[in-house]
Amino acid sequence: MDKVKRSLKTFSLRPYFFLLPSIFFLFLFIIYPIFEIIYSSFFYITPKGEERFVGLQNYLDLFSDSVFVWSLKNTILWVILRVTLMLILGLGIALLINYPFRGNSIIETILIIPWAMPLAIVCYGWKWMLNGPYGHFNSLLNILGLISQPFPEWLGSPLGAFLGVLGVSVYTGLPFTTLIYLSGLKSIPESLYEAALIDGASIWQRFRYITLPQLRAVVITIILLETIISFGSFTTVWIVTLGGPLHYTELIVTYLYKVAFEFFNWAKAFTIATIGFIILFIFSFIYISKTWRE
Amino acid sequence: MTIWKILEKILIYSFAFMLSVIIMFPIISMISTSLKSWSELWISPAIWIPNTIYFDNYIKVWQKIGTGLGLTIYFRNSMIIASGTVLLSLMLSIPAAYTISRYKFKGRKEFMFLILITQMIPPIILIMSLFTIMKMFGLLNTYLGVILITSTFSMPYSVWILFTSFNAVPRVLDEAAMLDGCSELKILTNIIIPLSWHGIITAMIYAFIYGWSDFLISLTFLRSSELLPVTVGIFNLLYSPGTVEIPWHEVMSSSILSAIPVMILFSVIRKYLVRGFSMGGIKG
Repeated sequence: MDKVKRSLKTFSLRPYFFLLPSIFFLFLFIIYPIFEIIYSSFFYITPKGEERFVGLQNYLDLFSDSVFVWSLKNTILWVILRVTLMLILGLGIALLINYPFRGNSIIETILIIPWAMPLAIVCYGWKWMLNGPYGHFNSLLNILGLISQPFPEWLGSPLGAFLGVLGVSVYTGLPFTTLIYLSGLKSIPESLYEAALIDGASIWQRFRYITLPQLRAVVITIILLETIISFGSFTTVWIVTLGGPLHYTELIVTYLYKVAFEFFNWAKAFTIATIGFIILFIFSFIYISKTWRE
Repeated sequence: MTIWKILEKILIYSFAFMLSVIIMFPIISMISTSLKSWSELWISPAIWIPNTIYFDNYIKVWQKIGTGLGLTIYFRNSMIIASGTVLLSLMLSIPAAYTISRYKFKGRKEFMFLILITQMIPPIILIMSLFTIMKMFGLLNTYLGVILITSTFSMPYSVWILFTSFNAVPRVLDEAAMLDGCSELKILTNIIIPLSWHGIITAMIYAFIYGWSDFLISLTFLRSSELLPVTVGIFNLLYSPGTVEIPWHEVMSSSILSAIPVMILFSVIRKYLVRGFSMGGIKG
């Protein structure tokens, strides 16, 4: 092994040469765009296409735009709700699958399906399922006697649309979270539980004093990762509601897309993107530094 | 004691049953809709089992979905984008993974950090800048433009998969081959790649799924409907102006058909995706 290292050391430029293509792509399509959006957010673009430096003016304008402020608040609410639901439901399902009973591998297989399907496809399915008069969701509620004609149009009402999109997003995201929990549960040493059983600890005590503390690292991982994923949930919202009705399901990523490609207000869109990037970067940095140490 | 055990069992099984029903509900809804005829689509409340099972929806969509193009064209486009992503992404990540696995050099840590942090940035944040770059190179409305971006964004995770599997190949083998006078390229193609084919296949499938599932990049870069992948093709069917009644039965049969290849591939690499999650295998 030493010999290989020594012989490889003589070609000191080689590693950089091999890394050149990947670094080139990462810089051209990720690093450079990051700097471009930040840089451009300080400029005003005239109708003629000239750029004029305006300092922080774009940011001041942006925060006086009530739709942006609304979508920012909406995004925060969205992230908090989605992450909380993931944490609770994911843990519940993971505990269920981890419980030794016949059929837990079947549940695990079924659970993977929403994750294995392309996200866009699941969204099309849900969009029609939630349709007011003709969707299967209302049909089920009707059979259960919970609603009667005329059926509510979920995606047409502010709260219904928000919950609907949240439903799709949790549905597609839960498998991943559950599997992270499961790998955490499987790494808890069996001896801890055996010792607790000898001491006569109840199920609840075992959960409270062994399982939960042992899952601490996993929970932090899920919070950070799911925050990052929730923040960028463009596809789900765009397909199911386009951010509507009005702006009730608008997130800053969907608003960014509208401002850029429908209103063609690029200076403003650059500013939104910069704010989005900063928020994302903070969470990504914390997450990466954490995994890096491990 | 035994009565509690039985109660516990009943509780567990009923939870498991409810959970499976909830997970399967949207899938069953899709399948049910995909087998309906046009007239049964508009019955309220929605029926579960169509009176006449209409398998025809799975056949005629290949020619034409509603008034749009057929699934044949969308499938071809998805296939081109996904295969292109596999090719380019692997061409970029194999040398990168080999280098960080086998060399010690200044900047190695920094490169690995770059790989990790870039995979956290979703393309939506950078989409305007990417659009400008593609416009500058004249790559808007081309497959290549889309493939360049999907490859870049799927590369970090591929590097990570390959890095772990290259690391598992004993370095003694490199050493032996090197003493025999093998070139580095030969070591890579004749020793490392054959011995880590598991990782290579995983990285390939991952890149394929990434390309096939892409929505945002194709939505933004592609204009001509005959270039669209299936994800965006269906979207345009739903949201194109002037659409009065959407042929949801055909939308669902096309959706199910286009999910099948990805689901099969996904089940192959599922175990690996779960194991490698801690470094952030983010999908979607």
